[in-house]
Formats: sequence, structure tokens, C-alpha cells
Amino acid sequence: MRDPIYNDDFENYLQNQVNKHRIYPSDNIWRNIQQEIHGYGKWPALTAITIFVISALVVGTFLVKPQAPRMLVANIAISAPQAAITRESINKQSSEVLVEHLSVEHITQQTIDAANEKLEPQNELVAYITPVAKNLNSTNTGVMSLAAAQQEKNSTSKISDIKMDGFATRFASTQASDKKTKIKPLFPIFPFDIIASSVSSEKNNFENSIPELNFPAEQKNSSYGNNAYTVKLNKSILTKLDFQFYLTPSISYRRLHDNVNGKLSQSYITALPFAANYAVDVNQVVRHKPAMGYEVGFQLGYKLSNRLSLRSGFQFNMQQYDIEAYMYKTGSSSAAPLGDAPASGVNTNTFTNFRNAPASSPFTLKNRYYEISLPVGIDWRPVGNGKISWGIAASVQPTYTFDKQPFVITSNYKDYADGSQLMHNWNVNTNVETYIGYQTGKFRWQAGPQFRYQLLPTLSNKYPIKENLMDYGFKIGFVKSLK
Amino acid sequence: MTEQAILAGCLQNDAAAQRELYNRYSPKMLAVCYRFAHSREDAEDMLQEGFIKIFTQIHTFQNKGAFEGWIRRIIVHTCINFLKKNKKFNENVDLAYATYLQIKEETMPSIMQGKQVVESIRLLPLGYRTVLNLYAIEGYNHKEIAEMLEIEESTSRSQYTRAKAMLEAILIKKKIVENLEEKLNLAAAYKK
Repeated sequence: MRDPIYNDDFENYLQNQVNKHRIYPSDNIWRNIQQEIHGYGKWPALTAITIFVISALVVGTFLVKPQAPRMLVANIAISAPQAAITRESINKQSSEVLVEHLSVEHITQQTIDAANEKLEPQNELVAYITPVAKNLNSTNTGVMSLAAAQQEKNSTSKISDIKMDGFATRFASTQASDKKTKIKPLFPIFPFDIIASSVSSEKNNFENSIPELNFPAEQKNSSYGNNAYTVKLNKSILTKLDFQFYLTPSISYRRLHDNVNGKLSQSYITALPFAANYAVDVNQVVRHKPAMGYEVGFQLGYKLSNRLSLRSGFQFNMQQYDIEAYMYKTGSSSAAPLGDAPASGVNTNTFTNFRNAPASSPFTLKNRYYEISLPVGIDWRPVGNGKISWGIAASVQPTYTFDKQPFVITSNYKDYADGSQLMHNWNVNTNVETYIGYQTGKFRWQAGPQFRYQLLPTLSNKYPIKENLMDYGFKIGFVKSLK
Repeated sequence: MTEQAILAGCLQNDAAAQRELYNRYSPKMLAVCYRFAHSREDAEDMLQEGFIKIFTQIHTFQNKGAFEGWIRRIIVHTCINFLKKNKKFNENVDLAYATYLQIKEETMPSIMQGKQVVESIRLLPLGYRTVLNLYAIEGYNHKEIAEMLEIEESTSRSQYTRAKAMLEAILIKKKIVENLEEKLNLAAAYKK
């Protein structure tokens, strides 16, 4: 660097003049720097959306797949060796094919040999199964009943002439020798719930007669052990639960009020060409333009009665609105007080390039909030028959705002400045709605208007102007019982 | 918040301290960028890039000189690097160029003189403007300027001489130095 003593007059003059010069950068410069250094604040939004989507998919999957049969198929899979029917065979073969294959008429030596070959690796289990089959009543399994029925039907059966080895032989002969066998048709017996209940009732016999089948406790619990009770319990709870998914396009308005009884407007009034000694409503000073936002979420409902339900769930909100502002000319900006020093003892100053007073460069500021909330509410359907119904609902929604970039009017009403530092992260919203419901199959489709109100001000008490957001929306969704 | 507290906070990557540092120095540094840049948008890009460097390299500040001087050097180097991406600093412009500049003759109050001087500097061709900014205002010598701009030292000297003469002409024409004319004898220098 050059020693300043060598500066001539011209250089001194230039330095004196130029070093006085200040230019105030626009707000987005700091945001960009902050994002570059501390990462992008929108990641929490992506995380929340991802969690929401995954949750919705999981719940949706459980809704689409029938619950009870799925559990019982699992039971069958555990006890499959006993009946020599695997889950794969159940899934792959239709009932008719199964009947055909299992009928004694169709059991030939070739079939038996083939079956024995397939069952060879399971010989040990088969050895256990045979005495089990003896102990069981005829209601044990549909397959057993079927075999017995077919045997009785063919009293002069050719089967007796067929040399039967392995599991199939033992299976058929056991059933034939049991005179107490109740012959039942295949389908009334085959459904899995009967299998499960009968297996459950014979549980003790099973375990007592076959010590080798005394599985560890955890395995017992996970198999057929308590499933009959589980199914009953699940059914009783599920009949009272329902699932709701909804989407609500909405537009956002806001209500502002001066927290210090109109004192703030005095500086604004004195800036006007005429002197006035009255308060100006801040809502008249700002030029607000509502913009489209949305809510999307799901809720679980618990029926207190046929017409009254409690609901709670998870909701994602995007609210936004526009403000008509004007830019200061290039190279200049204004000092903007956000706080009200006399009233709150806090003087939060910043700089801005956006003015409220009309000028030659109009500019639209966009305030956008991304939120997640946990609505807890009540749903009442006083009118309706099976098909069409009318209801009203209300909820309270603790809300977390995870992405916010608000521009707020300065406390002298002259400019707009970045208010993100003053903004609350947590807030509480309420909503009321009314809807018409239409039942189609298992779904009740609902549509109707909704009003959402933000109870606490958007910004902290340091900022003397309170903002409460109001969203008017149209909610569309469906409700499906979980039973 | 004191400068030491800001520095300590920035070393710990504290966002509040960084914001304070930015609020304190960004207006002055944007003015520096604005003198080098072609437009306000370019100046803001330079400022953004410069402050990111400041925050990420603040651990290299050794408390030997003024903190503002360190910040300013980073900003100036950022500006030069920004300009070097697309521009050439070797161009020579005829001194007569100044006479063709469309300068509105007006008398400004003295309080506006600083801004007017800056705007006058920005009327200079890029090479002249850069050398003048670096030599007359930022205080670099010609050897340093030559290294920074990757030009000959003699080129830096000649460009500065021409830039100075051109700026004086502009200032006189704009009547910004009306009161200082006699003191600095700028008109005489220009005639020579």
C-alpha cells in the first residue's frame, strides 16, 4: 500500500468525498449471504413435506389393504406345515383350483408321489403333524374336513386300493378313522377366521401333545396365540375410527391494528401535505392483495356417537399475500424503524429499499409462510341420512412456521422492511367449517367453505403493529372408516 | 456490540454477530463496490461475494491492522476478480473521450458532492476507473495494481494519469469542483 503522505491534493480531495458515500444494500443480499453460510432454511420444509408424504402413504397403505385377512393369513403361514398348505399356495391358487387339487378323487399315486417329493424336506414337521391331527376335532382345518368328507362320500373308495405314503396317507387315514368327524363343506370351513379360532381353541392340546411345538414365548405371541382377541379388539376400536384426507385452496387476508392507540400514525400524518390531528387506520395505509395458498392434511377421527367425532391429525399450510410497494431509486435506501421506542422501549432499526408512499417504481412484495400444524377439533353432523349429510367442524391448531420472509410496514408507516427476525415461530390458529357430505361406498366425500383465523400476532411484541391472518378456503376431502 | 465482540461472534459462526458486522460495514462496502461496478446489480453481487469471503475467512484476520481495512481489502479484491472474469484493463481511451461525455451541467449542494464525485468516477472507462479507484482512493501503489490487474506497471501509471485528467475535466464540467477549482488549480492542470 502507498503511504498516504504521498497523496496530492486531488487524491486527498477524492478520498474525502468518496469515503462519505454510503449505499444501503437491498434485503435479499443478507438473505443470500446467510443462506450461503448457514445453509438453506427451506430444508426443514422439505423434511416436513417428506414426513407428511410418507405418513400419508403408510396410512393409505393400511387403508387399502384389508386388515383382518392379512393378519389371519399370517397365522396360516405359521401353522402351514400342519395343514401342508403354504401361504404361497394360498395366494397363488384360487379356491376352485384348491378344491380340485385337494379332492380325494383327484389324488392319484402320481399326485401323492409328487406331493411327497415336495414335502420331503418337511418330513420332520409332518411327523409332528400327524399326532396333532389325531388330537384335533374335525373342525381343525378345512383341508382335513375336506379329505374326510371326500372319503366318506366315496365309502367304497378306490383310495383304499391306492397305496398312500407319507403325509397324505397319514392325513387321510387319520381323518377317516375319526368317527366323530363332522363333515363340513369346504368353503364354510376354509375361511381363515374359523381356522384361526379353532386353532386357538386347540392351542392347549397342541402344546401339551407336542412338546416340540412349544415355541419360545415371543414366537407364540407373534403367531396364533392371541390373534383371535386382537382381531376382536381391533374391530371394536376400528369401528369407531375413521381417516380423513383433505385439501383446502384458500386466500389470505390480514387484519392490522396499531398497538399504541394510533400514535404511530402521527409521523405519517405529519408527512402528508396537510396537517391533521387524527389517527389513521393502518389497514387503510397498506395496500394488501390477497393471494392463493393451500392447506393439505390428514386426520384420524374417533366417533363419540353416530353424529359426533373428535378429530386430530397433521396439516401442512402455505399462506401468502402480496403488498403493493414502491422502490427507492437506485443507489438509495431509507432507514426504517420497526420498533416503537417510546411505547415499547425497543428501537429496532433496519434499512430498506421499499417505500409505502407511491413513487415511480411500483414493486410487489410477497409475504409467504410455510407452516405445519396439529389440528385438534370436533366434527358434528346434525343433519343427514345414509347418503347425504350436512355437518360443521371446528379445530384449534398449534402451528409452527418454519419458513417465513415477511415484509412488514415500518412503525412510521413510510416503508416496508424485512421483519423475519421479529416473527414468532409458534402460533395458534383456529378454524371453522361447514360441509356437505356424500357417501359413495366406503368413502364419504366432503366439500364446504372454511374460515381459518390466526389467534396470536404474526410478529413479536417489539413490533407495535399486530397482524392477524385470516384465510378463506374451500375444503375438499374424504372420510373413510377404518373398520 | 463492540468490534471485538462482533469479531469473536463471527469466529464462532454466530448469525447475530455476522448480521451486526454486515449492518455496520455493508453500506460503506457497497459504495466501494459501486465505484468499481458497471451497475448497482453488479455491485450487490460483488458485495454478496465479498461478505461470504469475509465470513468464511475471518479466522485469517490476525488483529494486526484495522478490521475495516481487512474487510475493505477483501471487498476490493473481490471486485477486481469479478471484473477480471470478463473485462480487460489494458484498453486506452483518448483523453478527448471526456469531452464527448453527456454531462448535465448543474450546481449541486456540497452535501451531494460525494455522491456526484462517485458518479463522475463511474463515467470513466473501466480500465481508467479501476486504476483510479485503486490508486487514488484505495491507496495501492502502481506495482500492486499491476499485479492485481495483470498489466504492466507503466500501463497502470499512464492509465492513472489519463484517468485523473479525465476526471478533473468531468468534475469541472459538472461544476462539482467549482469552489475548489482555484485551490486545486484543476483547470490549469487540464490545460497543461
